Amino acid sequence: MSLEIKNLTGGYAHVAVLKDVSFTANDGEITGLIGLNGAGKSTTIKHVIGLLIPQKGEISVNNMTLKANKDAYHQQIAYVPETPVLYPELTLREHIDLAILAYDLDHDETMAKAMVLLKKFRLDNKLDWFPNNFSKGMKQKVMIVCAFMTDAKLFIIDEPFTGLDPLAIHDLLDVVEAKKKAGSAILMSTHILATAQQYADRFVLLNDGKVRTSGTLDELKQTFNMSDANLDDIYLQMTKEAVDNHA
Amino acid sequence: MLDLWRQRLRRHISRQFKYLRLVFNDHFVIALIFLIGALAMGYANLLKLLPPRIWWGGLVVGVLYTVVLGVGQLATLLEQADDTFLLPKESDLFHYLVAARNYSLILPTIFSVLAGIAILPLAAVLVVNFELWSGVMLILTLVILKDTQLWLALLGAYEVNGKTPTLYQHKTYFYGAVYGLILLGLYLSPFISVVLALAWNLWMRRNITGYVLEGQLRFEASIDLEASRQYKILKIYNLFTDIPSLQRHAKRRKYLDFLLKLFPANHRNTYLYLFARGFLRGTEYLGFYLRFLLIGTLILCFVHQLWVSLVLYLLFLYLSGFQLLPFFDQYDSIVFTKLYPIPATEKLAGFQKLLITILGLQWFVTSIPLVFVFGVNLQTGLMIIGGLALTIVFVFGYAKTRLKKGLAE
Repeated sequence: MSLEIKNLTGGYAHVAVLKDVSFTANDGEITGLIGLNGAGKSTTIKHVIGLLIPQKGEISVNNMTLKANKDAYHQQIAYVPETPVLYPELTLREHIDLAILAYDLDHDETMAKAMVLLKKFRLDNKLDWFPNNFSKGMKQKVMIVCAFMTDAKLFIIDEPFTGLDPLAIHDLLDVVEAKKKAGSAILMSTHILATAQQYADRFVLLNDGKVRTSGTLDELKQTFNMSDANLDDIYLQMTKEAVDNHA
Repeated sequence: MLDLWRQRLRRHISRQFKYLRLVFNDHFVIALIFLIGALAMGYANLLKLLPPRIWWGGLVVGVLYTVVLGVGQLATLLEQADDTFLLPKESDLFHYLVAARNYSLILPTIFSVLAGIAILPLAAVLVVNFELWSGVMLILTLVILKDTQLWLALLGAYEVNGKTPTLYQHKTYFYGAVYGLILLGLYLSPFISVVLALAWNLWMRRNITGYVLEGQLRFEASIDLEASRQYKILKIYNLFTDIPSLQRHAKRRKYLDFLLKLFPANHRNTYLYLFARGFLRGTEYLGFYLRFLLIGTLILCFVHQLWVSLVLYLLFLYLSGFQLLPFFDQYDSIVFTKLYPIPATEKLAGFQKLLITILGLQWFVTSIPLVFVFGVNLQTGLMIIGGLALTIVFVFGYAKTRLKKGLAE
């Protein structure tokens, strides 16, 4: 069991965005974090990577917590944010070097892995450029390369499909699939439900800061009593419930 | 449209005051008083050394007067979204821009008067037949020319038939004309300068409306111009406080890469790896550092009073280090910096390594003029040791305590 969130309540300052959220993301599985805008997906991710501190509850990765050992905790995590942010003064090669230094990885071995990824994402001829001047999609690819060249135990990808072209999405899913086979846990938040349904093993449906339900597609179908539904239908059903509850 | 201008101006001014409060605090005011004092003293010394009333004096003073006009641009306060939201209001925007132009005149006018007064003693020494009233007339000329210049800047925001009037716009022509006018004033009569400047100004004003009516606003160029103007101001504020909206730029500067080899790349030096590259390629800190280094070295070459020299020597070291402190937080907004499995103390250690290298170099370079001016003796030795002590205390004492506050969370 890789990522385990227990009764997490948290958010920004005094506003609790998340209320009593619990779920797990298992090793060797892709967990899809699904929810409307503002449901709390990114907030959950920020708690997991340690940008926000829980008001209540506990988050552990392989039984390690941020509180107990911050650096060992971070060592296990690779993160691809939704909005790409890069160092304006570093070249693409230096971004890779910096990540190697920061995570204390073997230089040549990791660089070789990075080169494979760079080729895949057609960035291998841009190593000496400033990626900060790239387009959004290309910046995102840089972040994917920097994350997936590591041996993290938990990969967190926030909304990966919005800026990427179809070919890149395909390549990303390949890479994710490989990490999954190697035994890492992957937590992916997204709106692109068709893709999520196709690739994710389990889903966590967030609504209004709470976990509405979680499980495999079959389990979700049972929960919502929709035997031949796809993720799209279930998502819409959840949305309707949310609207009804508010009314 | 005028309401929009007033609203933006109010917001702009309150923001400036917010930042200015942050700028004029700490030891900066004291440092500034010392600097102004030292400059005034240097100026007074310089006046004694200059040959009085010489034929080329006017040429030099003319350059100074012309440079004064370089201060102050048209502040339009246009914003990124304006080319979308204000596009339908393009013709009304002229009134907005005129109001902006009038506002933009205030600060440069004050500056022209003050700078004009500061030039007076120099002009009185150097220029043949220079009286007080010639100085007053030339200040008046400067103010009129500033007014003209801002009308020109306003014109530059428009284009007619896809062209901007390059002849008026070209900076070389403008400053050339200004220099000519000032020289006429210095060598013939300041009255001529005033009359000609006024004639030019009135002619501009007569033509402007017709030109604008015919023309089209260059939205994108004007917005970019304003953005880069604000960027310059924010860059200065950023020395004293963290400006979140400041978008940084970077230049590759490949020729400096050899310097990076000074620092071995290993896990412990992760932050140093980042900071060293940020320092050498960023557009903010390196420029200021080199200016401090160059100006400091030059000034120390010319100051012969021991105490003044010592104060300046230490002051330049301090200022140079002080301006680098905000650099410590530069990467905090980039999420990865927070995720690195590296203890926060390593960040401070990496920054200190960079700081000691940079300030150590400055200490070494600015010590050289001291040796030349005061000779090899105990006094000079003590000064240089004092400089080294300041550098070390700054990096490992002052910087550490100040930056630790930011690390606490």
